[in-house]
Amino acid sequence: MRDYVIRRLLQGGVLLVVLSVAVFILLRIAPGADPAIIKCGLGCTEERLEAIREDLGLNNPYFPISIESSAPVVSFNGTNQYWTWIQELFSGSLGLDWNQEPVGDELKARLPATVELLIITIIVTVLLGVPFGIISAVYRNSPTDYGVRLGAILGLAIPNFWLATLVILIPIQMWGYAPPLIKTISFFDNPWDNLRQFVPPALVLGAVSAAGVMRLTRSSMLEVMRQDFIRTARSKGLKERIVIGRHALKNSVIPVVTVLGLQIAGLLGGAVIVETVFNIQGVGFYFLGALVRKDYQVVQTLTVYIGAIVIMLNLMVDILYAWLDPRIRYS
Amino acid sequence: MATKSYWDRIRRQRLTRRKMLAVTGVSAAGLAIAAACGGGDDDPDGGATPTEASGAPRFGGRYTYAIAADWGTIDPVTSVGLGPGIFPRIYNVLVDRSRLQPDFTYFDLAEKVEQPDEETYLFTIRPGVKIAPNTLGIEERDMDAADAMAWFDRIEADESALQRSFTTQWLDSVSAPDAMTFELKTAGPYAYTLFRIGAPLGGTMPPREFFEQDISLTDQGVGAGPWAVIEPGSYSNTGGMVVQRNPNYYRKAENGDTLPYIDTVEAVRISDRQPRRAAFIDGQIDNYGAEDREEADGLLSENPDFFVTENPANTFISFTMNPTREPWTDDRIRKAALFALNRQEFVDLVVGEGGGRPNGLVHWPLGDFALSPEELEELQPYDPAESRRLIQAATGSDSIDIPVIYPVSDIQFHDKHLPIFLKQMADAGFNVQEEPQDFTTWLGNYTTVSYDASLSLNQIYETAEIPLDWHAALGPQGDGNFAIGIGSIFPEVEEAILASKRETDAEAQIEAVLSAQRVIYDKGPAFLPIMSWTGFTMYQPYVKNIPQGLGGTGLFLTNEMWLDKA
Amino acid sequence: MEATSATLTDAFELQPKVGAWRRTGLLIRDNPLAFFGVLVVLVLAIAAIFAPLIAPYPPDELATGPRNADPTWGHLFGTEDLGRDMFSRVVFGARISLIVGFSAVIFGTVIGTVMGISSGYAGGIVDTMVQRTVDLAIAFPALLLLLILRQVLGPSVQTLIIAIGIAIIFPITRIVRGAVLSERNNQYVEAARALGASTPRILFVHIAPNIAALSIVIATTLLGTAILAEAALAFLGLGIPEGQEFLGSPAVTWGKDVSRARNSFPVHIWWAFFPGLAITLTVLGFNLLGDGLRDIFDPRLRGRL
Repeated sequence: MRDYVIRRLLQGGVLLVVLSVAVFILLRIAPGADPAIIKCGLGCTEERLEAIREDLGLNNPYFPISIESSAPVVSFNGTNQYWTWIQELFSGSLGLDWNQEPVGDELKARLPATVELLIITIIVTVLLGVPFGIISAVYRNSPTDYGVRLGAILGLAIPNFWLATLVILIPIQMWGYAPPLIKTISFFDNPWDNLRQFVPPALVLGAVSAAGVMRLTRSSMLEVMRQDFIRTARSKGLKERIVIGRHALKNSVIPVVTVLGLQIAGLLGGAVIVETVFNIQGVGFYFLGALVRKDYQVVQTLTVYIGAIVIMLNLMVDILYAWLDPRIRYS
Repeated sequence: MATKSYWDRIRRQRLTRRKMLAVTGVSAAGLAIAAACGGGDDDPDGGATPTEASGAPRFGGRYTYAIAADWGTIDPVTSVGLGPGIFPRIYNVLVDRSRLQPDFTYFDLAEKVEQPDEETYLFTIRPGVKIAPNTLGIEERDMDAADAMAWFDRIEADESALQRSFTTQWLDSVSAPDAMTFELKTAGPYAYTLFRIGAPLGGTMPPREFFEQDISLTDQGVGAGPWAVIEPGSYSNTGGMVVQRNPNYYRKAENGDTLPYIDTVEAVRISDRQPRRAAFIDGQIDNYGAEDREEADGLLSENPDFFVTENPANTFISFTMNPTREPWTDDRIRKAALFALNRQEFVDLVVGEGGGRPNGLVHWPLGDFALSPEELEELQPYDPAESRRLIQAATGSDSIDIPVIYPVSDIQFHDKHLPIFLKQMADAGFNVQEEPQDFTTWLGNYTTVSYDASLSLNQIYETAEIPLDWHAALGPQGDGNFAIGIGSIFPEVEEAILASKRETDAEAQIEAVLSAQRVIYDKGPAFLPIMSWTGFTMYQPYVKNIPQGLGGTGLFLTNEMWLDKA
Repeated sequence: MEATSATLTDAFELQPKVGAWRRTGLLIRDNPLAFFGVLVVLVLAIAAIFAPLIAPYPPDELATGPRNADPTWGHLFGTEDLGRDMFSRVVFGARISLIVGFSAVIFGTVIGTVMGISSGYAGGIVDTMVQRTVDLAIAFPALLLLLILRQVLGPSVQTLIIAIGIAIIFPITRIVRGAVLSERNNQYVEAARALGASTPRILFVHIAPNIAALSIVIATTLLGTAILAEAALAFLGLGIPEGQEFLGSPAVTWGKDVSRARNSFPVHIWWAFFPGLAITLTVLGFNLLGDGLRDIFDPRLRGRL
């Protein structure tokens, strides 16, 4: 097991290097304006553009080693954009964004909001998804089952942004109520207002993933309950509640864990939308803005960090898997 | 409202009434595309009726408004996104003359302007305009002519300054004969001088220490204006802006009250319309720009206490052609495009009746500078049959393929313009080959004129100068960027545009602007503004004394607003 | 797109058996939800195919009536802000939304299935290469990919299809690979191998049909996801630009209409209501159909144990 984890971590490291090179190159070879052009803005002259390029280091060679057809064929570049960026990745400031502000400061201000949003979303997902999944499986093909399943599919079928809009609109139109919208409130300053602000978007974001988890819990429960050991447990005369609670549930939770791990990565995408509609100044919002104005530093930095999170999550899921199901062995 | 005292001061000043009319255009003349951002809602501006301030003004309270733009667009020298909404609250301007009420001039840092000759402007600096307490180590001293000098140095040094076409083409020299006098000379008579220097956009002056110590205008906000950044960290991209009353502020209200009335002003970022709307109804923010008249009416019917201001927006979407590329090199094809657009239909479909008006080459919100509807009817009639006839004459076929680039954006009204545009062009014999582009790609192509034709984004012009400069050889920036002007082909267009800038006599200048437009129409313009609309800004009922009917100048009078709530 | 992973892994367990189609009739009786799904899909197909005959107006014709009108007999679903007929737009929206959904899903499923089969069956270096590619692709932000594609290919219907399609490839690869791995060790494959069947024969005759069933089930639920993705992108301002044409029809999509209508909500409720309803019903329909298909292909989960 230890060897396995070490090998996976090494693989993950290599993957991150490839990811960083990929995002670095793709951003630069895509046609269209570069950050210098956008920063230079409307009154842009050639000289000024050149100056900004120089400032932002966009005139430096991309990589430490460059190969050209003209002599010298191979040259080593002391100052290059890639290595500068990699060094910045490990510094506190994470380099400068489009506004010449340190990316690190911006993330420090925004990360708590996104993390809290995701935590509440995961709580919502588990609290709604798992119990309803069990109920649906236990009472399969009953009206309860149909109701829960239909609800779940509806959760999957409503566009995120539309649900979010309704969650803001209906209370304000009917009762003149709105959650705090103008600025992000810290949980430690004002827990009540903080929850008023974060629970509605988390419910919206969680609706989709809860629906997925519910469906998965149901089908994996059905699968498990059909198996021999459950039959054995039943025939031993164990109460149905114990059969389900102790034996079926533990085994059916395995695929659910996998999906939760995958979903956290997916939730980051959904976060862009709810952060916009609920006006939460989070990381998703920042990432989208940076994408649109091609802020190299922010986009490539966030890509690598999110990639690292996704890779770590995948590893944790696999380890959790082995822990939940002793039959799984990694070598 | 303390209007009377201003009127008195206007009578005292030495400019003639005729000269004043000359500059009716207003404020910043910088080229500005309200792209990818939009300035937010806070735009106290509007119709002709000033608010009735009921009861005695109250001190205190917190006024909160939403901004939509990215904080990176705050520097008013280089950007139009946020600056106008924020800078007038912190800094001072020399003078600002209202676009909508030309007789109204706001004297701020300068208490007097004199013009010994047509090219010289002498500003007498007001004593006692004192900088707010701050943590930056800037001394709480009075502002003087050296601050104005530092500001102009900054504008001249910054190659991306919006005012650059002014500083390079028209500004001859600035000097400070003594500490309390600032002198500005233009290279020849120039009609737009006071608008160029006295605007919420690019006219507000931070203390010179900002430039001496290289303090970033994006990080800090301390001046001698009504409010100042006092709490650290309350001026940032994520946090927006929180400014507190400047205890040193010089200005007094009519009744002797020390301004400003409001203690704290807060700008919060809300980029999406729905949360902005909900936050307004819920009272979390104090004003909101409705999408159109219908939405404003809807909100009013539910909350009759809301206060609405209407103001013509100095913005429009335009169709631009590149007259150096086929087929737009041919005047007949350009004129065919001129007659192909049914501008009234744009108004009817985009904003509905009463929400806007068709534009000529100078947009209608600029009043006398725009040609009359009757004359426009003659110069740019909607006549698709004539368009086809012109295309036939030029090409031998009654229809022609034209590639048109446009940015993919959901900027206000742009996606509504597009289908109408496509339909009207098709009716007139233009088969538009659409080339939608990402915003950044489009902006690059638009700047360098790498296109055949383009449907542009919103552009904001507060004087007639830039709309006319679009037709000049060097283009709206005066540096060759965006340059699609037919002035490069027709010297008479170039001359007419220049003449309209050099004429400092009021009525004659209006006439010069009008006749320049006629000259351009005759040659087949390559830049066609389509329509401008009216903005509807709503306020909470407790917001009192909202400056109205003054255009952008109203932004400087927010120091007299007060909140009627405990 | 976060909805996919659940449904995908959900379908993971299925074990297709030959002869499943015979049970379809029975299932409709037993599984009214799936029947509802079939019904929705049928209505959609009719709307999409006969759109020009059903729609009273071209979907991009301006000012067919007053702007922002409530539903009337002349305009069954009302009109939007430029006076275009919403009924016609919803009908044509079925066409474009479905084409976008189907093309993206077919594109993604075919490539993903091929990659998954080769990875799972070949093993070794091929497997490692494919798996690491998938890891990389899953870690790469989908929005960034879309933005780059838009800059290379220009914002258009095709770009959107490719972007959504690419996003679909990788989760499918993973699932198919897993299924192939378990098929590979099944007795019937071992029997075939023992009988001396060649690798291609085992792949195409024995494994592929079963995997195809799996892919079809996944693809069905992914259709809904693709339609939602289009809507979400329209909301973010990264969707299909206004005024485009695709395969001879104006590129009208439900997602674009809902996200445009959203701005004037709640002043005009009906404008957003019908395309929104269309999205929800369609995604619902495809999900129910997918569930039904899974039940058919996987007798163990047929419902009756």
